[in-house]
Amino acid sequence: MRQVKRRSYESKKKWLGFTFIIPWLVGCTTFFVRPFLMTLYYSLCDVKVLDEGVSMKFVGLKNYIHAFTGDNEFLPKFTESMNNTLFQVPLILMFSLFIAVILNQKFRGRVFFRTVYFLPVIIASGVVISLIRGDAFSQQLLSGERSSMMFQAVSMEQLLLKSGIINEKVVNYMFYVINNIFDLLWKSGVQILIFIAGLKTIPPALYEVAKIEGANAWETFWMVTFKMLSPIIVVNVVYTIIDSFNDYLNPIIMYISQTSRSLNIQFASAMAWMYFLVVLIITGTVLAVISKRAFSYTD
Amino acid sequence: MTKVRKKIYKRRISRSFGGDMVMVLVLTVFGLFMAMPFVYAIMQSLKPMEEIFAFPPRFFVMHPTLENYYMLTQAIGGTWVPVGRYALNSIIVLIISTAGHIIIAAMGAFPLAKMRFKGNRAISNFITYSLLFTAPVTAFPQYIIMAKCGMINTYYALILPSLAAPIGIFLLKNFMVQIPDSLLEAARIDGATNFQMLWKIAVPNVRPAILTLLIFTTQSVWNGANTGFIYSEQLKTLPTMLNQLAASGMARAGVAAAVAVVVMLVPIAIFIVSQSRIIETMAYSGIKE
Repeated sequence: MRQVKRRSYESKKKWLGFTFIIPWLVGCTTFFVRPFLMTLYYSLCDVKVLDEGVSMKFVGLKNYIHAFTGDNEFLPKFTESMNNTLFQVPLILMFSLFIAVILNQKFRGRVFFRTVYFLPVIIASGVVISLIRGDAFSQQLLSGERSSMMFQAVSMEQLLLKSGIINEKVVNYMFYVINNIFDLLWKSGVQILIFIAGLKTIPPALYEVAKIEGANAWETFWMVTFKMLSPIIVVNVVYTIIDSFNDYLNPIIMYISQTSRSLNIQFASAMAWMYFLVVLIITGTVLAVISKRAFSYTD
Repeated sequence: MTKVRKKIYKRRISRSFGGDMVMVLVLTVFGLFMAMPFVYAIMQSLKPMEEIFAFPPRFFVMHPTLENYYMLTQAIGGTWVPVGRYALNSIIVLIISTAGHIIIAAMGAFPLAKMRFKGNRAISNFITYSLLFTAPVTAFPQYIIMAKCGMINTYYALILPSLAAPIGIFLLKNFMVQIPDSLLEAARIDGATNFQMLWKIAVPNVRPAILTLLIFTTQSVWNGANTGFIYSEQLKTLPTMLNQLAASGMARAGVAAAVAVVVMLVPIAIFIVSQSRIIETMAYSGIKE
């Protein structure tokens, strides 16, 4: 008798949980999962975009094999993207945690500085970047090939060069050494904000305890801030990995969207799926390793 | 008790003047690089025509002028769809997408974070990996699906996909996991329904995350991720229209910079407002346990 009642409560709870998630699940399935599965089908087909619609012919793994045998751009770009990401992720995380901890302090002008650190996110997306790029395009007409890179992608380096604030040779040398650092700073905007939100939810009482127990700032950081923040660090690790892999500056992403825009849908899909699977394996592995170490109240 | 507490709190936050200076210095050094492109856009927008095309290009403006902004207002006045219509479209899309996305994400995140049921883990993993789906290739099949649903060239094409973006549910779930169970149990004993627990306990407790999500959503909606699905002039949003204006030719390079500055102002304003609200609310009431 008791068991039956209990089970019905459990199943009620189960359905309740589902009803809360259903709106999102429906939307995500329609707009993200289905298109994504469609690309899997495209990658196995010969797709032709005609005036009257799309024609498809099943060809099996031909597109995948083509990536390795017929196409000499896929593999180098693929490995370059991998290298970029592996190099970037830890640095982005460390930098954004560092800045977030500082920005979380109480001092005059913190909202101003937070805004400054979020500016790259506002600028690097959508309309604004295309405007700055469009501007670069018109300059290109005057100055030859110099800004042709600029038209494809915008990074700190190119903006600095283009703006002519410092001599080109100095810029080149400076960026040869620390090139990636500035691009990294630029990519940390979202992570900084997520970290700040996480820092805000750490109970102030814990800091008081640490203080009373005589912990110094270094110990407080590792024993309180870092530990309490660990679930959010996991979030940011995942976000950063995914964001760096899908970054439009990544050579392979640029190559895929270029291929897709020229309506070579089947080949773009095949490349995207191979890339997706590799990223999936990496993200899954990292997540499995680190999420166990994160702090949680239920332990 | 409260007095003691206040005292400790005060001591913790007030640091030496020198410490403040070091912090501000560090932030300024990195901040200069962060702000550079923004300042550059402002500089460009203030340059007269001959300075914009000067070679080699200069960073700072020599003879600042508002000519570009004046030309922008002229161009806006000349569009055949009144500018108010674009602004209205923007507001409708921005408000519905943002509010809807946050509500749907909060609703989905709550049971995933705080209820035990079969499939919970599967759905959570699915959300994490669906963040990977934003690859450029999906634009084409997305277009086909929307065309089949008859959504191309309607508000729906702008609103619905952003409602279902995985970032919100991913973020909120991970913040809600940290709410202590005892808080929710107390609410349940007091007779709160699941719905009340979500809106009265869970959401206020992850307020910083909600406001952060608000920034992300308005930012991506404003910058028009889905604008490719709209071709009728009356339904386009303000940034799209401004972008079109700016894209029409080299003679408008200065206007383009002016547009870039104008378009950036809205996300920056939203950012400042929501960030200052995070501080107000959480400094005193954000106690977890």
